Amino acid sequence: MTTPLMTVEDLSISFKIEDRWCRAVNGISFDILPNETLCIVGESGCGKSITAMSLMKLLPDTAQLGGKITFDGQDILSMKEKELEGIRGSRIAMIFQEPMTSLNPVLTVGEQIAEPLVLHKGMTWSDARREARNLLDLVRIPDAEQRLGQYPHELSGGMRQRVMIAIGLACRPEILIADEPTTALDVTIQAQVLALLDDIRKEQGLSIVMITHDLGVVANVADRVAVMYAGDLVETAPVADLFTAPSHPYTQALLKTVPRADEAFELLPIEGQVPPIQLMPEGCRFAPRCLEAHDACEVAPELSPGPHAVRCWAREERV
Amino acid sequence: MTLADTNTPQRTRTASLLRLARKNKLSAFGLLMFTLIVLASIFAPFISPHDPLDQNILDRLQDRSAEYILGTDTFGRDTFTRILYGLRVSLMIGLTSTFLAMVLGCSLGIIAGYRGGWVDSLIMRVMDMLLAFPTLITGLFIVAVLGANFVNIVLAITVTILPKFARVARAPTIALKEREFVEAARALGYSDIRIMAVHIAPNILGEVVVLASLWAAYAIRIEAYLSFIGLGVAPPTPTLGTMIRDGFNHILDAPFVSIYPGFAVLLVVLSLNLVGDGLRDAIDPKLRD
Repeated sequence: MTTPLMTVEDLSISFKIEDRWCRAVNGISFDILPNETLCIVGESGCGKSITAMSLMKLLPDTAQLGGKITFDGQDILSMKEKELEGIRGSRIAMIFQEPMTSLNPVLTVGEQIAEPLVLHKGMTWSDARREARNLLDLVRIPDAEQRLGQYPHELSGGMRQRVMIAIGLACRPEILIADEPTTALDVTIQAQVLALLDDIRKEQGLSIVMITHDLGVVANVADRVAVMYAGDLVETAPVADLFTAPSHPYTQALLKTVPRADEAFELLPIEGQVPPIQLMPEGCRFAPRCLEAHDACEVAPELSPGPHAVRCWAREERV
Repeated sequence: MTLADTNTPQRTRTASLLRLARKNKLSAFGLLMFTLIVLASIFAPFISPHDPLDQNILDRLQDRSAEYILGTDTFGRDTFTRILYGLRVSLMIGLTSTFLAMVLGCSLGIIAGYRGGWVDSLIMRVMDMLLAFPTLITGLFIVAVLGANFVNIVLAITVTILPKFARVARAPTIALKEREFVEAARALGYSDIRIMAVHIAPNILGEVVVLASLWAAYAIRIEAYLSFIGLGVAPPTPTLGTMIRDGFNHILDAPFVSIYPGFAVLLVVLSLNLVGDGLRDAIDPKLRD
């Protein structure tokens, strides 16, 4: 078994709401392996984005963090701000959902790609600019030389997301976190950007953590998938296993909400809603909406061991 | 899209500036006037045949003539020459203090807006305290306590207009720090100082420059006030304010001694205000056609 690049153990993130600490992320654990694409899937508000942010400890001061995130033998969560600044953008990079607003409108594309190189790699601006040109080639932006002098508003959405990727890749990070990188793009551009990310992962040998709510994206690019529901990690599996043998009732229900082209079948929405964070049930957080819920579900189940892990009492019994 | 649009941003920027100048003739005129005034004060020795400090007591309080274009003052010094040299001092004081106030005020405003919390409260309450005093009183107080010389006058004017810049910088900073690119900058490992200086400051520069041009006019007026009540740069160095004050004693028999330097103040302030108005129209999209 390969040694993981990053290990997340029992990560919990709480926010104070009306004088009470509410756990938005409820003790989740997973590994990031070298040169893989790990997709974290879940609906809005399930905690996937703040999980991604916490991998670089990028959360506001109001958040209370618990657990351990080990990267290169060090615990990210106990690092000082100065140490974190040395890792962010240089060894772990992140790209965001909105390419329209993630670039600084008053700085040129070239300046924005060159800046992390100057800061983290100590390059001169002229060297960094030359490297920026190579990076634009890497993310397949034509007329790289000319693009360097342009401002973000002169580029299309897809172009801007490519520029974001170039900035993220500038310092050759080991992990690239992509927070819904294609949500704001239309479908054809989405496919291009996903293919690009996958090619770059193979070429550069980096690991990608992709946050998404789109199971189509997951099927396209993931090696492994982690499914989150209401702050819990409910199932993690290699991508093929997840689609052929989904084990958690939530994953099963989720897959039934995706339209398919090959057979006629009825879309089944998941009944009910995610409970608000202040009113989370004590036991299994999915129990109120689960068709298979029974008495045991009043106590929260543990994540089962193994590569295909499930957090559900029903599965425990079956194994 | 035409070919011109895909050109380098420099070229399109010059083009849009030209278009703007054509649309806003008044501001273009203001800019031209201000440029001429600055040039005239820089090249004063070449323009005027007289020395600003040369006293010629026999020719005192003369009206306009071929020799003395704008007449002479109490000591027979050439008013036109003294206005040119006085402009140097007035512009230097006005522009230096505006620049200092802009840099310091914006830094404080950005820090207050970006940090929030008690830092914000502390900085902005101090700014409010400074704003609570009428501008002239604050300036007067500083000069009266520290003494009237070039540095103290610049300091006094800087302190009086600094809070206004802090306020103008703080508001957009609060909006900007919630934007995703600031988050992205943090994800790239940029320090807070770097984010403020490299990523937020350029975004608010436009609004700040507009204000700077308007406040520069104000700073020049404050300098004239202070000089007029005797708290300006020590004589015999000419500044516009001291010249108006010198002529004030003879306002009935020789009004032109005060009127001409007063007119110079008017021209400088007017030109800067025209430029400022034009810049504001150019930047404010609501006023754009």
